[in-house]
Parts: sequence; C-alpha cells; structure tokens
Amino acid sequence: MLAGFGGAVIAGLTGCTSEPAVPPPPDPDDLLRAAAVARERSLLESYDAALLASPALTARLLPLREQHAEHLAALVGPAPSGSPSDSASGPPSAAPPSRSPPTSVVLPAAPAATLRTLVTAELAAAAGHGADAVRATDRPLAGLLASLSASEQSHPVTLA
Amino acid sequence: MNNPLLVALLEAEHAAVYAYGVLGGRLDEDPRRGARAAFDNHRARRDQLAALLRAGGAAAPVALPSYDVTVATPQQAYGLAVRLEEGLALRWRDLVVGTDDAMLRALAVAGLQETAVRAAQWRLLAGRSPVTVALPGTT
Repeated sequence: MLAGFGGAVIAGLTGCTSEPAVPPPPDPDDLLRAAAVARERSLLESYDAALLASPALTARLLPLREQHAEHLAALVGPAPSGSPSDSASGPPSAAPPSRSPPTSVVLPAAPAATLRTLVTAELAAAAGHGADAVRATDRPLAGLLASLSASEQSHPVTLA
Repeated sequence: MNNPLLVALLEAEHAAVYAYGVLGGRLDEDPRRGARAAFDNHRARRDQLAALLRAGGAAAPVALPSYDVTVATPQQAYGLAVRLEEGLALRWRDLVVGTDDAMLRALAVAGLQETAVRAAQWRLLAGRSPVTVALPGTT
C-alpha cells in the first residue's frame, strides 16, 4: 500500500513539472477498480508461485488460476483485438501496468502449506472485493466486485 | 428499500428452506449435516428479509403450502441444492446492483458469498467440475 502511494506521488510529480495545476481528484470508483486489479494480479502471482513450488497441485490449482485470469479480464475490459488473448499462458496482457512494484511471493514448498497460503490469500481478496462492492458508486462495478468476492470466498472449497 | 428485489429473495428463501428439508432426507449423514446447515442459514436469511420488509412497512410474503420438489437419489439432491444456490445467487446479485443502501448492499454481498460457497460444496460432493465459477450470480 505504502509503495503504491509513493509510486503515485512520484508519477504525479514527474507529470506536472511545468504546470502547478492540481490534478482533479481521481474517481473513487476508479480507485476501487484499481485496487481490485491489484488484488487479482497478486493472486495470479501467488498461483504462479504455487504452481512452481508444488507441481503436484497443478490439476487442482489451474482451474482456480484461470478464474482469476477471468476476474482480471472482467475488471480491465476486453483485450484489444489482434493482441494475444490467451491469458493463462502468461501475464494478462490486457492489464494496465501496475503502479506498485510487484510484490515478491514466497511460498513454502510443502503442498499443504502452499494450499493454506492460497486459502489465506483468497479469503483476504474476497474480503477486500466485498467491502469495495459496498462502497462502489457505480452499480455494475459493485456487482462485478461482489461476484469476484463470492468466487474467491468459494475457492477454498477445493483448496482445503 | 428495494421491495421487489427483497420480495423475490424472500420467496426464493422460502422455497430453499422447504427444498433443503426434503433433499436432506435423501442424503447420508455427512452431507445431511451440510444440508442441515444450509437449511438453518436459509431460514435465518428468510427471517431477516421478512423483518426488513416489515420494518419498511411492506408486506412479507409467507411460504407456499408446498413446493414441487422431487428428490429420489443423492445425486438428485445434490443437483437440486446446486440449482437452489445458483438461483439465489442471481437474486442476491440483483440486490447488489439494485440498491445504493450500504446495509442492503452488504447483506447482498454476504448472501452472494454464502450461496457461492454452498454451490461449490454441493458441486464437489456431486463430483462435478469445475467446482467453482468465476462470476457467481451471473448465470
């Protein structure tokens, strides 16, 4: 979080060297959407790390990772036509660059511990999406965040 | 208050309470405990929705005398439970996008989460794949 704010401040400074005009305050819903994107990207990183650490879990984890890719796609909108669209084969290309530096994900090698770590991450994201669904002004955004939250709340059913 | 959405939810909860009472009887002990927990949860949501409607001065529809529920096997019981939860998920999501009231929105988010978790649990017991969905409440 702190890193994210720091990045935003730096970006703001470099963007207005000649004009002292105060930028308009960001749309609160845009901030909620950006926070949701960050949560999904973090979850994708966690799943990628888990797949590397525990290949035995691949069949279990891939369907969940795919759903997070769907979540991210739903948040950022459809990829431009002509661009690679296979979101499961690498970092989702439709996502805007994250302002915060990527968090390094360190997962324990034991499958049971890997699963516990993912459960914790899923439930944290579900809580974040759920709280933001209540705060969102835009109703379609609220509905999307609520669905993402419900999906992530249900993922531990196959992780536990 | 958004009464039509609350009424639709209450009617669906009435049906779910009835159906879980029936389908639980077709299940073995372990899954029957899950059906019992779901029954209790739907009953609590039913009462909560009825209280909300009455507090707003609206009529709260009561349960029908019976519902068309035919369940003969555990697989049919699982299938019905999944359909019940998916149907409720649609209505909870309708409420999420149908209100700006923070209390109702929070209630609807919690309801959507609960139905998604239970639908996943029943799909797992039924041996279905995938167990979870990316966007619960959106068909």
